[in-house]
Amino acid sequence: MTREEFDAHVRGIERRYRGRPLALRLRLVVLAAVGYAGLLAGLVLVFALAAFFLVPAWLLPIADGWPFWFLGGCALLGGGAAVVRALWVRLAPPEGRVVTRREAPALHAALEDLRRRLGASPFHRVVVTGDCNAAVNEVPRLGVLGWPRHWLQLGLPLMESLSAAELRAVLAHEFAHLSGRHGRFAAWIYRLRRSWEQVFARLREPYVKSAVSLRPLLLRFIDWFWPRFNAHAFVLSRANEFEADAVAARLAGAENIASSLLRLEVHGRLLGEKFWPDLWLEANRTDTLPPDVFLRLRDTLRAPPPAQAGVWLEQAFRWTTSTADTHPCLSERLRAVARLPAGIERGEFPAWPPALVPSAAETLLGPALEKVRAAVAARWQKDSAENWHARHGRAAALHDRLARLDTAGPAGTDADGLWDKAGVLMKLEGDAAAAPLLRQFLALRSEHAGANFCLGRHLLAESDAAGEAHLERAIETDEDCLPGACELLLVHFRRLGREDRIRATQARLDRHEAAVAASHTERLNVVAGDVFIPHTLTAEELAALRAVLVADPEIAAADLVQKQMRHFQKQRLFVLCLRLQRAWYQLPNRDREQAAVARLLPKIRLPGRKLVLAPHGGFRALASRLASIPSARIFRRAAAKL
Amino acid sequence: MPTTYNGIGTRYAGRRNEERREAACHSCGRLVNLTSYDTRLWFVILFIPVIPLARKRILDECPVCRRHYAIDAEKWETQKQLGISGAMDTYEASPTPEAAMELHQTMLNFHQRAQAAEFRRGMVEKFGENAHVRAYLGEALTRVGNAAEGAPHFARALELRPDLPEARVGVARQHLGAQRLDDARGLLDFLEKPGAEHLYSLEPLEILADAYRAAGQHAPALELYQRLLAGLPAIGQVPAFRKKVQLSEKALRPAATMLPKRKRSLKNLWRSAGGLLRAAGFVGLILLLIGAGFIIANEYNRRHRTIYVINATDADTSVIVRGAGEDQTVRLARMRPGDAKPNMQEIVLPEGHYHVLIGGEKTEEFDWDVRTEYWDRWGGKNVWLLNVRGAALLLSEHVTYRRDPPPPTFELHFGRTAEALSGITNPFTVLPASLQMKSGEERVLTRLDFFPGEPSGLLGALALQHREAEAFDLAEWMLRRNAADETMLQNYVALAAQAHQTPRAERLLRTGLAVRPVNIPWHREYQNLHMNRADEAALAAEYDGLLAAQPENSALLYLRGRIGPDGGAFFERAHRADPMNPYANFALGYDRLAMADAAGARPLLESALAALPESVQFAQLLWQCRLALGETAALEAEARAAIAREPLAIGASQRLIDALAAQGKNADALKIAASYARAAAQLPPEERTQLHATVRRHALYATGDFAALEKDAAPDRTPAGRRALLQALIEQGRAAEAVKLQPLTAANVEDALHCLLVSLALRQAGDAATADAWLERGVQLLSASSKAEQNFARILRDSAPPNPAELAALKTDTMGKAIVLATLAAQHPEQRAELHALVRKLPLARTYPYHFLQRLTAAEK
Repeated sequence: MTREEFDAHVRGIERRYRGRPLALRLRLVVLAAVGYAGLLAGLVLVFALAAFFLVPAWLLPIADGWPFWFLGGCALLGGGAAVVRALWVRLAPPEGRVVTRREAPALHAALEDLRRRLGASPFHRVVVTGDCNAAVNEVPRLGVLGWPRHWLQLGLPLMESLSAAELRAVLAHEFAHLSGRHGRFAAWIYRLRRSWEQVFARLREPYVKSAVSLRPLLLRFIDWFWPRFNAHAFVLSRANEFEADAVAARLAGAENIASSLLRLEVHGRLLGEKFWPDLWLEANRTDTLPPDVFLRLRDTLRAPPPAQAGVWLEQAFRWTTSTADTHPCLSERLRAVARLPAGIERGEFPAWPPALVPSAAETLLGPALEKVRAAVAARWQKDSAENWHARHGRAAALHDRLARLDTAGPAGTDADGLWDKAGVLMKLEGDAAAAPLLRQFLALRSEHAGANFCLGRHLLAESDAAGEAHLERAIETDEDCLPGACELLLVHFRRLGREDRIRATQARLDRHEAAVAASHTERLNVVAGDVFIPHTLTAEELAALRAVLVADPEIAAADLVQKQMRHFQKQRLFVLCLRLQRAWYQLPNRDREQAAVARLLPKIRLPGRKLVLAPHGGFRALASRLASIPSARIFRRAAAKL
Repeated sequence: MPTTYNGIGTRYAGRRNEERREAACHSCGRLVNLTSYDTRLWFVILFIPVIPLARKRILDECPVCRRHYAIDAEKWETQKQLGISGAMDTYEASPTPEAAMELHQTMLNFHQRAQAAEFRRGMVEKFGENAHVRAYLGEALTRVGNAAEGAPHFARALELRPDLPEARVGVARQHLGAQRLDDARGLLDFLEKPGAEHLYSLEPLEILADAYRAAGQHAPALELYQRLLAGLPAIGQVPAFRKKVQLSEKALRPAATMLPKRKRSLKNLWRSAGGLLRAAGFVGLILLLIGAGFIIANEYNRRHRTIYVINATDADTSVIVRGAGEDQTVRLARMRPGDAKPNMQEIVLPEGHYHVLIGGEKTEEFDWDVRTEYWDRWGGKNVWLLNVRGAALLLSEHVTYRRDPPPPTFELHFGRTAEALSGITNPFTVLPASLQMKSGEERVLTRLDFFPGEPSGLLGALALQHREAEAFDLAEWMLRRNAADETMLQNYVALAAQAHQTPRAERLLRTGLAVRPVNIPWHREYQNLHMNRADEAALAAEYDGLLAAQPENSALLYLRGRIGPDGGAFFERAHRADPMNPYANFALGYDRLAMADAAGARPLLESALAALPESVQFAQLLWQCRLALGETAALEAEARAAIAREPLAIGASQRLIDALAAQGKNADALKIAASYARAAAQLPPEERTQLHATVRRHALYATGDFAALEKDAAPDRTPAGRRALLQALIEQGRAAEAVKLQPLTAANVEDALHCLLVSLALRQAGDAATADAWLERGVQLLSASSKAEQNFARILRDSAPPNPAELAALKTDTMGKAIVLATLAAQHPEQRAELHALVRKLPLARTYPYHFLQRLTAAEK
């Protein structure tokens, strides 16, 4: 199902079940049952096959029944193993520092209070990680069949970013999903959707190279089932988010949920677009991972607003919700809790949130914070070490390459040298560092798809709309750039809140994805069953072609048509059939025909793809088809004998 | 790939548009001239193309291994034209170096080398100063096996852009080819920089290192290997790489090896092993799995041994098997009369040492090993039996399945409480009627089951197979268990006589003489062993002794009466002592019948039969008595009722024939024989033939159709057939011919009455001399028999005329008496009429020589 189809599907569901929540729930129950049935169908089939052999084996004496025992055993063990292997997926619990009640009594007291108030399930463990989020992870013990364990994952950056009250609001939101506050059914569907989403994603990962598995069959079912279930659950889940926000507002205060949402939005961008990229640039210089990364992160969060603060804030409020988002956008969520700042519609946006001292981390973790921070940093170092060292090594090689490029010749004279250098700089220091070189290169080779793409990407990251044009140019030159360019444009338009452009870009992306595979076949195959239209050559082009044909005395006639392209209709594909002169008593000579085709093929110039053929041999049917098209005959030699 | 089998299959024929290029074969890896061409695929017979199947484009056919790609010629042509024209269109629309390279590559991909060469010239003209284009051309030409043409392009690219990695690698490759290794290393220095592995392939560095090693320059080789190890640590585990490093290290002998410690794992072991070793490992694994399967099966068999616990006794029994694990208790009900099989239960136990306790009236306990040899557990087919008191009679039958199978053999199992049997393929299950086997194959299946019939019938079968010892063991075991089994007793004694084992039988019978109440059949058989001239006196004394202890014992009185010619008084006393004693009544009835007093015999015989209805002897004599009394209509009705109940009852059929013949209904009598044949149709052929012949001949004799009897018996060479023929000849007055069938000198002439009869027949035929010889033989045989028969001998030897009154009082078998009287009549013509009259009065059965005697005595009718 394409994005456009999914969007249409979601909209259709919203229309169909508007005012009929019970019908939607019933539908979801049916879909969940279908999901479980589909996942277990393989197992049922295996049991049925095994029973087919084992029942007669049970009834026969062992001397006669042993082949049935053997076959039944093979079916049960082999089939069972294949199905279990196909279904087997292990979701690892979140990795991080486990924080015990003894270490952080304040945190656990706050969690217990919230849990009790909301009647949510208890947590198996509370884990502090290096991510900037809070989530309740459900780790199913039985893979696709469920039976989850709840792990509360708290990101240290999040705790450093929020106050204790704001964190309480965030946690209240998460707990609300697990509690029966907005209905046990909704909570179950919410959890099931999240759980299946993770499991199905894992199922798609290749697990053993070239292994024979039933998993492709399972994935076929998932491909059919998941978009349907997801679309229905999506409609319910989005409503759940608002309800969870409302619960959080009631328990922790609307101000706190509103300020936490804003902080998470802008701090997330600050970390994602500035702190982490800057930190990783250090790998170019040193092979040693910084030990104080989370102290630096805290300081970054407490530092004065960055230069892009205004733009980021504006974009945070302009961001719109798409069908890819399970969570509504910031402005919708703030509006729902009646805390949308006034003047947003007029372009007046609130200020960058002030730094917080003490943070939720300091308040709730207390003396354990240093230990927890050190542990989280150590884990980050462990997880990042390989990439860090690889990046450092790559940077060394890139520096060497850069040095050689610099010594090879003066910059600006050789376009290829410029492009190579820009490429090295992009890899080394990012798009921004290479932007001047890219501009310089495009001055020489304005049509270069890669350069346009990279510059467009850089400009959009800088919130510069000029990037759109570069991306469009890249697509025009090389259609293979379209998916990547459209993804960049989508993010750009969403930041601007341009819903019309978002829809158009999504539709374009879907069309392209659908057309690419089909058009490849269409462009490289011509059969008699294709739809042919009269050629669209200009008079000059046709005259040039006729001149080539006239020059060869063997050619008696020629038929020319154009294949109608369903995809990429601007492309043209011509089919030219050459008919040779022969006396009435002569049989068709295939070798002679092939020789004529080979002789004329390099001389024939047509504005598109071309297939030149002779009427006998393998192309007989196609040639007959061309002969039946009245306007196809473009040349006939006077007094020619066919 | 096309294939043929014995000249039939598919094959390519013809070759056009051939192109060659030097490259490594994608299948065998050899550097060869790969060929591409158009051809046609044919269906061939005897390698002669017969049916064209398709036109093909063959791509990159290896001249060594013949592997290639094949594509439909039209599809290839279409894709080639459309692909190249599409790339050309793109290039013409945007004539950039990238588009030019794309077009050139497309031409090469479709093997259009001439077109590509032409286009390449244009490329060089247009983009000759573009280092990327030059490097691409160098690489493309090298890939299609034209490294020499590619070399200038690399060189020019390096001139234009000395930093360009592709150009440096390309030129370095030329230096490598020319053994200018240091020059190559200079160009590849960027690969030796730290982190280069993140940007470039280090393959050229490895090639360079290998070249140094091959040239004997191990120091630079090791430097480069060290660099490769630093950049790609995983390569240190690759066996081929390790081998190369080890060779260089061996040459230089450094202080320590640069190679990391080898990771020991099965995966590595598997990878490092050669093809043969891998195959051996695979086979070994399979064998290991099979071996494990056998061991598991062996252990399973050891733990699951089936014990069959059987109770064929007449008491409820419990059997406790104590040993490994919990006690196994089996309760089995007694075997009741009418039960088809003894009660049986299976228990499954592991092999081991057990203690068995058998309850019931008489407890029994013993230790028992349920055990087999390790190697016997797979195919041993062992069976363990707990046969309570050894009471069940089991039979193991070995049946050979093959095209012309021998008759089955069998063994008997009885009398042993615990028994282990091996080679039993079908314990207590039926054997298949047939098996699907290979031609010439032979298979033997052994079935163990309870003996289904009367054990007495087994004695004859065993005797026929000369297994008399087994027969005696079986009979004695059966008689010890059930002394009242009269049939078994009679068969046993008969078998003993036949096998000259009378002393053995006597020893057994003697053990039962003191048993009270007296087992009359047992005593009768004992007495029968001594009914001869030598023993009779001692026997009489023995029974006199028994009688002295119990003078009024009816059974002993009866038995005493059987000894000697004067038993009548004892029979009377026995009858008085116990009027219901069937044997006393039978004896009295028998005597009356011998004295031609059928009316007097009837109530006595009736009473005897009522007390012992299963006695065949009593029933036959009563039948004879009633026939003599003329109750033919009633007898006919009874016989018909018996046949209706049991159509195959041969005795009933014979009785009905006799009854009908006695009424003169000869045609009906013959119909009975025919209807018996129909009823016997369901029997096996041999048995059917034999039974039908018996009934038919009986009917023919009873109705007096001796010519038909002769005709029927003549082709039959069996003893029964010869006997019937002899009877037919005697009855037809052809005694001389009859004597030829069984001359006097024959060893089997042991029947005294037969000798007397033949003598009569010969005498009637006028051969007095031969008749005298037969008479003498008959008298001799009578003299050697019991006292009563000795009496006959004495009378026959006496030259004085016999006293008819005395003869009339002789109490013996009526048919025997009739023959003796007829013989006396021949010896004493003066009393012929009187003696013949006596013969005619006797109630005779309508069996041979009934008609002869009737004819002989017809004058006195």
